[in-house]
Amino acid sequence: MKELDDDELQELLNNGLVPDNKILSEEDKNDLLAYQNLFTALGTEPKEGLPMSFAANVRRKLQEQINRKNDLRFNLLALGIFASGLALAYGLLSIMSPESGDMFLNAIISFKWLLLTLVAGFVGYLFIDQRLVNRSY
Amino acid sequence: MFNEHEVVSRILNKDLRAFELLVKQYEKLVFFVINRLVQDQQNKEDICQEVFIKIHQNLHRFEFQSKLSTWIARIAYLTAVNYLKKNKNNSPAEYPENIDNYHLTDENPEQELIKKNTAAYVNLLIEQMPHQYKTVLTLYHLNEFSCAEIEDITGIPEGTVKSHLFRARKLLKEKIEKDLKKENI
Repeated sequence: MKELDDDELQELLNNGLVPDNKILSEEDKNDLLAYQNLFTALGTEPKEGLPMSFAANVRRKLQEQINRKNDLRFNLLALGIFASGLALAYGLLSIMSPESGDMFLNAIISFKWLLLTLVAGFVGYLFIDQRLVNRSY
Repeated sequence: MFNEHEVVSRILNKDLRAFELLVKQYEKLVFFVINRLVQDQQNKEDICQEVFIKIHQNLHRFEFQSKLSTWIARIAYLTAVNYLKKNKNNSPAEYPENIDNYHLTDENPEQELIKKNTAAYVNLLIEQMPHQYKTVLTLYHLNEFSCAEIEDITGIPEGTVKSHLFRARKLLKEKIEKDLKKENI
């Protein structure tokens, strides 16, 4: 006669307790064996896996991302320095000779679209570059 | 010996070699979770890479409230679930809510061959199960997490984790027994 139900058998195996075969009925023995085989199969690692170089690949990818972030920071800093340089040049020229300052400002204003296009193109390039790096699969 | 605290602190100090050590330590754990949930063979490695990059980006948030492996498994699980949501069209049809009504298919020549290898056959049967069942079976048996840890990883209540485990194993056992009887006839 069956003495142990499925839940009890699973609980015993979960706790690493294997009941004595002598006290089990034939039906329980079969169930126990079936569960033991199932537990072994469930604990068997899959044959396929990640390549040996996986950790190195992740590290390389991460290094590339870090380098690109650093490049982005550097390029934005360069852009900031360029804009500050223009403002500083205008300020200094205005102090030394207001006429030269005005001339400089007029020159900048006449090339404003070219300058803005260059800046927008540069920022756009940086943005696309970052998006490509972060692109999900 | 892998020292979690030391490795994490080295990674936070921008040591990529330490991160490589962490990847080596936990790549199996991540692969087991992704491998079980994602069917798309080609994307498995990419998703595992994505998991480790997320781990690197978020490691400063890890406060040792749980085991590092639990935190990593949670990221792997959520990444796999997000991937499945995004690629819903590629996944098999919806599963019934109650696994007791679930029918594991057979009559497939490929399955007939695989039946000879119990572990491979069990894996094939698990592939047909809803993802919550696949996850708890993998986390419990392959990754050796406790039911409480599986709750932390998946957000499924501990009682439900236990019930999923028992029902899934019972279903698998009955299916294998049925197949063995069929073979013996």
